[in-house]
Amino acid sequence: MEHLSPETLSRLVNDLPSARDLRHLDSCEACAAELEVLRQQTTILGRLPDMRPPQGDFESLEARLATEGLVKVGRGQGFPYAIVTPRWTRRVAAVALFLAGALSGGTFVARSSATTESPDARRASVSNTAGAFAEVARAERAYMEALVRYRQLSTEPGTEESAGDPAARYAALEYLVQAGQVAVRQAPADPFLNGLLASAQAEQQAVYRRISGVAQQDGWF
Amino acid sequence: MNEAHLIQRACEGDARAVRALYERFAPRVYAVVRRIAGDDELARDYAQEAWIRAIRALPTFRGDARFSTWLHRIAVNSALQAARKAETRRKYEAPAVEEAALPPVSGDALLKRRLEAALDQLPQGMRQVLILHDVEGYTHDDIGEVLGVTAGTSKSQLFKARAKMRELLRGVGDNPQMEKGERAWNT
Repeated sequence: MEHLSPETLSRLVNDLPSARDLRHLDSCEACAAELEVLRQQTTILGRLPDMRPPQGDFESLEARLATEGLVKVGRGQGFPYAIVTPRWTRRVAAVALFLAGALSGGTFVARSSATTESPDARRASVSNTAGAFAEVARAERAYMEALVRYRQLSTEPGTEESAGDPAARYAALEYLVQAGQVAVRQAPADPFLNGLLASAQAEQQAVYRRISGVAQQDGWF
Repeated sequence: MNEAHLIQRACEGDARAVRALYERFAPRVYAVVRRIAGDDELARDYAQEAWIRAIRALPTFRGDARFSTWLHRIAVNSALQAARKAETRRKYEAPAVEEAALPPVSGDALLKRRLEAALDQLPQGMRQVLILHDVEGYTHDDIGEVLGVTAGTSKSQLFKARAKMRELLRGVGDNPQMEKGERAWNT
């Protein structure tokens, strides 16, 4: 006896069986059982639960929305990270950012020297298109996370706070620029990444000038 | 704050309102894009893109449909579009064959994890139709519209997808109940 095909059984999950199929199902225990399993499989698929997104996704989204001007960023806008944190926490965060920036910089330097030295490796890297896009996605996420952290450091209720802690801001911007450079290297024509990188570099220059000015006034140099 | 008020505030760029909408609907959005993506890494990107599109389009939301339905449709369209782009890129790579390696859990949770893992292993076209029909409850006409195929193609893909799912789930893992389908489904 020839069994019903898997596609036919799948169709019978919703559709009424033809007289021929019905006769077969009445006489074939295996096909009847298989159809029942397929029905249960379909029922359970319809009851699959929702999924909580990974942690940190909203912060990345919020940073991007802010960059596009779709949400207002600033004091009193309800950003959870705008809640004032102690100065030492921000300094620790700044150091962590700086170290993370240095580490990621080292990784990318190592990666780029490998491609310079090995044409085979470069070809493999270029042909691995999906890998390159995954790298862009990672770099963009790192950029967004750095942006969020940078805002943590810069959106303070007291103006004197943000102006008074330029070293921490500079460290955060350092990582931001590095992540942005990597992202732009991976997707040189992306206007969004280029715009963000340019803004971050301009901001970093401004903070640098401020630090230099303060240092000169203090007679450090 | 009610939904209409939240939407209005979000349109005006109120970050708190955007966050409230996100917290309310993110699990639903993430679930559908995750299943369409078939991959955690891609799913994060698809979800973000879906939300960006939704927030951009928020001023066009007229309230004719429920907000959740409107948002869900944006998420599906956005994820399908992103998946098409990803598929084009993936063609340059050898397909990665992964066995569903899952930590031991029991009963219904195990079954759902196995279903999710099997979904991830379906070819993209089959997976999309199966998710939209059996998980999301779309009709074949709706599926035809969002995927740009005929209702007949959608049906045919669905039947193949169900059969493929059954094949993927038959004897997967070490749970002897899975060998006997009906007992496994009833756990």
